[in-house]
Amino acid sequence: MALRQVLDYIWLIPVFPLLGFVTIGLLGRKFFKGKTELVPSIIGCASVFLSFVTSVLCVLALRHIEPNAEGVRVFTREVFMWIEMGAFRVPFKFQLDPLSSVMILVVTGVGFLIHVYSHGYMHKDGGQYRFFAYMNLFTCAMLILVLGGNFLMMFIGWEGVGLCSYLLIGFWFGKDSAANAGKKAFVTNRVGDFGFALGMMLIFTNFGSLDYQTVFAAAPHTLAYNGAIVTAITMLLFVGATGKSAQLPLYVWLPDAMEGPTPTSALIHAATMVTSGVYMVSRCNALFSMAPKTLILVGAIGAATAFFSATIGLAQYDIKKVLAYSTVSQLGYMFLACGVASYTAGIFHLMTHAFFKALLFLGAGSVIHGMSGDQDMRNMGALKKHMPHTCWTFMIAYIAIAGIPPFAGFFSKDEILWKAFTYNSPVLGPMWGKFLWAVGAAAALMTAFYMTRLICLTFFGESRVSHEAEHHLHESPGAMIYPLMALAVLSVVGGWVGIPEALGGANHFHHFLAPVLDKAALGAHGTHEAASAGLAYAQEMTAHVGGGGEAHSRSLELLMMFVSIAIAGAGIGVGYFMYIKNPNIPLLLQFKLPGLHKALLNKWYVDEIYNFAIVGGTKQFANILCWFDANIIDGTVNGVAWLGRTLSSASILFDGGVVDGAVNLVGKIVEASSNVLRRIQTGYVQNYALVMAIGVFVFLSIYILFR
Amino acid sequence: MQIPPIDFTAVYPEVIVALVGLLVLAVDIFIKPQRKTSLSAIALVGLVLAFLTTMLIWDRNETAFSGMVAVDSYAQFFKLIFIFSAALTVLISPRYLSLNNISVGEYLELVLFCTVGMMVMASANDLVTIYIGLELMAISIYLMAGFQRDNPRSCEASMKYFLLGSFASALLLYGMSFFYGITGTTSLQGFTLSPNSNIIDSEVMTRLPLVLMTVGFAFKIAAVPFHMWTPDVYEGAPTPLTAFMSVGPKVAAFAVIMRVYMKTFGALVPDWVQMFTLLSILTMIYGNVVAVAQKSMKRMLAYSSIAHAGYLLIGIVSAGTATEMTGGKAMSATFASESMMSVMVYLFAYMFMNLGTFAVVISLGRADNPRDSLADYAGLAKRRPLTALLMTILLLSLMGFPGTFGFIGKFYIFKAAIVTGNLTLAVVGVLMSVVAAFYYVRVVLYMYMREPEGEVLAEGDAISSTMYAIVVTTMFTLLFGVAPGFIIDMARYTIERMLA
Repeated sequence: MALRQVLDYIWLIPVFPLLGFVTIGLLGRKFFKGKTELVPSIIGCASVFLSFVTSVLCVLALRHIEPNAEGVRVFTREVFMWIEMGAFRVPFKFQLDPLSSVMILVVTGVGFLIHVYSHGYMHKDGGQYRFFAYMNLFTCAMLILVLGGNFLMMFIGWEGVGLCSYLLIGFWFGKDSAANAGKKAFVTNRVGDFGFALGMMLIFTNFGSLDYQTVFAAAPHTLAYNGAIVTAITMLLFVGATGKSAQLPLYVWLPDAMEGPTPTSALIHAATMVTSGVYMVSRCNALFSMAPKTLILVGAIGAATAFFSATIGLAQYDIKKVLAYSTVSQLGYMFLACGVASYTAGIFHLMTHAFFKALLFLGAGSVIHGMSGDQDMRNMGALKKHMPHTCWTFMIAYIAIAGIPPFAGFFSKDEILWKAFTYNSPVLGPMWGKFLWAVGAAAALMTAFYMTRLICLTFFGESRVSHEAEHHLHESPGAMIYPLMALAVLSVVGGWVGIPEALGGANHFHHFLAPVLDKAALGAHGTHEAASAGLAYAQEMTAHVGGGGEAHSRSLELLMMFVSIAIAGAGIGVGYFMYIKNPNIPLLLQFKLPGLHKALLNKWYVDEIYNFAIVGGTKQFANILCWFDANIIDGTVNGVAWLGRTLSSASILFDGGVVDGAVNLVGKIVEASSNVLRRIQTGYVQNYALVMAIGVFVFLSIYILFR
Repeated sequence: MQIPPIDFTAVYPEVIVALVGLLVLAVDIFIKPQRKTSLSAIALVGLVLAFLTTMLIWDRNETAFSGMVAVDSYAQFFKLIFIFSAALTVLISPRYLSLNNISVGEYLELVLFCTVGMMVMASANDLVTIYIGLELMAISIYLMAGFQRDNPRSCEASMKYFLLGSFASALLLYGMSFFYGITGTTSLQGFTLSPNSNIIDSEVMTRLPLVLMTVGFAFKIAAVPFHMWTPDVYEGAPTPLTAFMSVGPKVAAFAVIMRVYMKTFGALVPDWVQMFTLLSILTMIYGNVVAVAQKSMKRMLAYSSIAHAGYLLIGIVSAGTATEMTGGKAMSATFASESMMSVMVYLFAYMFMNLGTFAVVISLGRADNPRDSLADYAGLAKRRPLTALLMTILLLSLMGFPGTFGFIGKFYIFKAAIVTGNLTLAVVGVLMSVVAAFYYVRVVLYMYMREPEGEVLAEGDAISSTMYAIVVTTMFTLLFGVAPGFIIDMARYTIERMLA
């Protein structure tokens, strides 16, 4: 099959954006300014588009790969041996399986649309070449992250996207707030990266390899189910995930990251990079499924984050900040799915979220563009008539995130909630799942509410736009609108690949990913060889996880679906009532509950607490060290110096006589020997020949005469 | 008598390079003086062709020309090094040649012929073939060393090298004739072919050719005490040639040494291991210590190249020890091939970093002033930031700094020494690397932290083919420093097939 050969060129996928980065980055500053500022846009978009085409072909070609013993269609390619130090062998290896297929399609597909949008958004910024170079580098790093065949490859991508995130948040580095936000993101991410690196080392010491296939295949035999080691590994990896995916307690950098250009927020801080933690947990599902204690932590953190950040989203006025907290909240949902061992649902939500959240950000960007840079929703209102296209695309994304069928967000969010509801924790029992469901449902209610609030304040109601701004108010150019429309289509149909069987759908998405992600669950249905291959943990998992799937009836699933829809409807209804029908209610509430409102507006004072406890603490500690340094160490040094001075004045006599004598003697010896050497190197060829002859003589003497 | 079949495909790379050399000579007569640069282009195209044909015969494993020539990937590996070094030499030469009014045509032709000689050495499977290759290489270099006819130092270098080289060749031939006398053959399978096994038992008889041939090869790799010619010749010869001969002949000699000593003299391991240990220690100490005192960059690099030969000899000794150690158990075979692998990787690294460093020296020279004293490098980082940066990377690589190709080479050499129990050599090697760090880093210090004294003469122009060579060598130094797996696998593969 000819298509099969495409896979041999899989390395091209990250190479295209890399070439784009190199070209734009090297030539941009000198050549692509002023009249030719269009060139970086073209190169930037084209490279990602080529990458997208290659990705599509590769994913199609993957169907021609025979499933391996575990039933997974997986293709691996070692491009070259990267590190080889004794037992530590790490090849530069790409791995394509259903999970990475989904990821590369999302990264290149949504990435391409956002690149096109950026062309319009960054128009006349003057820094296009820098922007597109960073964006291409980011795409390359993200693709390496999801295509890598071992943990170290993932780590390259992991650090690479972190770097690009830093560069792009601080893109307008002239602004103090942007530079600081970049710094904050970088430092916070370091904490997580530290955990990831430790987890990786622990994996290597236990498995002697960093290769996915080796590690995951060996995991059931090497590590004990629910043992200390597997719990430690997964906890450390999850610390990495909380940093990159902005979960409690490391989420604080993401809202600040909105200082970057809006396309950056859409691509990096909504659709792709922040989801890499979810990808990592899903990739390591073989390990996480063996560590139920970690799963509880994952679920708890996910649910807490979903709830907590949704509350903050209720009271924000900056349009991008609302979306940022919404992103944190939705990422919490994905981790909630991972925490109930339903990785497929997590990845499904990752994909649909990439569509509608990218659309929301790009739409917000379009609004900001039209508002000449103003982001405060109190200054907007009734923008519908000025920006109709932005409005209707935004509406679609809004319905999707609120969870109304048949839009994309409904199917994925509902699957997560249903899986949580039926989850039977091996440690805490079935009630844990019900609890997670309740928290998730509450968050869903708030999501629907704050999104309604955003829509009403921005596009409907009365116009609060200042006269000046209204004068400039305009619909965005085509380069920005067409990507919005494409994403709008995806936000509608994106969920249809995963319509649950209860609704008569086929749930293709689930079946596509199941071989990689739901080994244990599949084992429960007896459809899969690997899980029934006698692996003890798999059967154990079967008892714990899979049992729920069959037990609950289809009617219950349908009932739960209506509950979700009702929740979404309630949220929307309350929002509509408060912001369209009776716009004075919010003010009334603000007046009645001033404490709560203030706390929400100030994001529960988390930044202040961190500043006080961690940043301040660190500074205090540094001050103590500084004092210690200035008084104790310097004192010691000065004391020693004084002692030394005294001693030295005493030893001047000794020095002059004996030490100088010795030093001079060494010098004399070197000088003398160099004189001897110089005499050997006379420049006379006959002397050289003589030295050679002596050498021959010595060797012959040693080996022939004296043995 | 039947004429044995002649298989030219076995020596395609040699044939191509030789023909291109003749072509350059012929074109040189007809071409206008201002278009001489096209000669370099012809030479480069020829070298690319030679590279391709080398890859073509990469996997063959046989002998040709009645066993005179070995066609194996071991030979091809070294041919790759020669082709690379010749190509880089072609790149770094034009600027220097035009500054010093040296005729391009004859110069390039001799570079190519010298390359042919080295290739013949690497694929030699017979003492006579080795000698032919060695002389072809040596005579080309004698001529090139004296190319600046109006410069007495150049003439002196040529004359000295010729006289001492003839002396060394005579000793080598003398050893070969003893070898022939004992075994009745000049084939490298010699001792195993010999029917007179009782002669092999006579230790004096076998050691005589061993010692004499070792001296001949030690001269080519400039091992102490057969190094006397090196500083004078390196300093007097045209700088691009110095770069070429600090790499090419040394690599060729190591190629021959590994083949001859591991295969032919395999039965005499205890004898030659001792000899090479002594040579290695002397070479490392002498080369590094004397390099410290040098004020001229060319002379400093001459001594540094002597020192590198010392490190390389550690690998040879380790390979010998490994075969001797446990009397041919499976374990020792791996150690031996790993030791030889380390030498091959080191040679590859040495080729890039040494040629690159010399290229920097050339790129700074002017017609009226070679600017190769250490003081001339003061403040270079301000005047030529890119050149200074590249020079820093190359020097760090020569020093063996992690992240560069030089580190990989040193790492595997020292590892081989430790695994095979040659701790003395490893300790001396590491200690001498510290000494080496002093004189390499001193250049960096001058470039970045010293202000030039007095009035500064501007360096020559930066944009030239010399600059390309510097960039290319630095990129490879970094690339293989980060990802050396490719070269290591290649060297392992060739060694396994050569020893099998």
